[in-house]
Amino acid sequence: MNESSSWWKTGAPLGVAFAAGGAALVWAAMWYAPTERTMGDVQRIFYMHVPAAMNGALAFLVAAVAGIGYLVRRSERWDRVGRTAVELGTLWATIVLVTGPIWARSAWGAWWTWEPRLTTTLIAWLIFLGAILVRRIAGDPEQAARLASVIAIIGALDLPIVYKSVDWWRGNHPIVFGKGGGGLAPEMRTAFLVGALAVTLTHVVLFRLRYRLAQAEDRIVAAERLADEREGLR
Amino acid sequence: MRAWRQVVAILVADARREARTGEALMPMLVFALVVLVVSGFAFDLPALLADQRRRLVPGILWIAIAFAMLVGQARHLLADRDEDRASGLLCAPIDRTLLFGVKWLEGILLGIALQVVLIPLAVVFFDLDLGGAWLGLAAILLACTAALSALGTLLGSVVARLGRGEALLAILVLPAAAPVLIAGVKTTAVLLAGEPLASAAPWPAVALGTAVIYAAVGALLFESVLME
Repeated sequence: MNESSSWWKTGAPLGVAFAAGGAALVWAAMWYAPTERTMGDVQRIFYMHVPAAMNGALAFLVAAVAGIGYLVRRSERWDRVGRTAVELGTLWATIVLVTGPIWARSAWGAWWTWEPRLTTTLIAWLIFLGAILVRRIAGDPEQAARLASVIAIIGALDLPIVYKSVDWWRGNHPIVFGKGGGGLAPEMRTAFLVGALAVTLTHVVLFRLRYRLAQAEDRIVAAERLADEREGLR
Repeated sequence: MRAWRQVVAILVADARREARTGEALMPMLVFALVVLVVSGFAFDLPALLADQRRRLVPGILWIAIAFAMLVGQARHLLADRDEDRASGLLCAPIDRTLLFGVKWLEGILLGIALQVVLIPLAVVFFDLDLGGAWLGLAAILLACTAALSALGTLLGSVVARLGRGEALLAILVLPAAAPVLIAGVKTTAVLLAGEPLASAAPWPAVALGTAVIYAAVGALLFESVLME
């Protein structure tokens, strides 16, 4: 019982799931999914790009909820969730901002077209980078948590704008799902679901690792404070 | 009634200080003027046709306003901190939401004071014909200024808490203010083309909506920023 619990704590199962998910994503995107007729092979970016965008939006939403949670409860746990979500959201947004232009270059003939949804993702990315910056500048951990929570909440206000921007700016972002979307062939839909699952699994693994790192950071800060206090008493 | 007295007392004290020192408005005006002049050279405006100028001027105008407001609000909030006036305000028995309201209002007043000088200068420099667009322009300027001021007040307080200046404020405010700036530029372009405000839809509504949202969020979060 003890052995299995310690095996779980090493994070090995998550590592195995992460590797399996990554392999499944590569297989589904590169081999299983058929080549799209108009766009060709570059369309395969879709299986990474869209799940990354979905996970980025989820992370920013979690960051805002954690920000509200921290401001209401003042619990270190909410702060750690917020810290982790902001960094992971920025990571997913970075992937979206890299894969989007690669696709755009092939589909539209330009790396960056100021296409509304990608542009708004860039804006959200800049705001959350601001939250990371504020946290690094603040000297006191409590102040850092408080101010970064405020920025994360404001940043999340941009998410509805990201979602609605296609309507507002009448852009040319392809709409695949929902109203006005062309839909996907069955194999493409399966490949997309595999991609979404693999990226979400990676998100869970990274979240767990970063959260544990945040716990270790907090313990170090607490230990340093205790040492300073004892030093002061001498 | 007591709340109104507190608001008026802070407004009067800050207005007197501003009239005496010009610590926020003077740098704002000079900065905005420099942006107009530099833009004239950078975009070679005299060489452009009137129609081409009309397409560029709204962007120049909103860059000047946004950056000048950042300069002004940063100066104002940093002066509060450096001269320890912020501590005095925090010790005063005044509701934090009300304090946000006062600082937000001061930001709007600073913005209006800037625009009263800047818009006629832009008309002269860029040979604009505002015709009957004055009222529409005033409305969109007010809505966007209210939104920018709300963001500047909240995030300016974050920057002041961290002991930083205009650079960090610009990094925090401008991305969040992007919808406001787009709304301002789009509406101004429509008005300068001689069309009515209604034909700029949905941008005036976006400007007004962001002003309301940012002011509400700012009022809710201001206390968390000020806490020691």
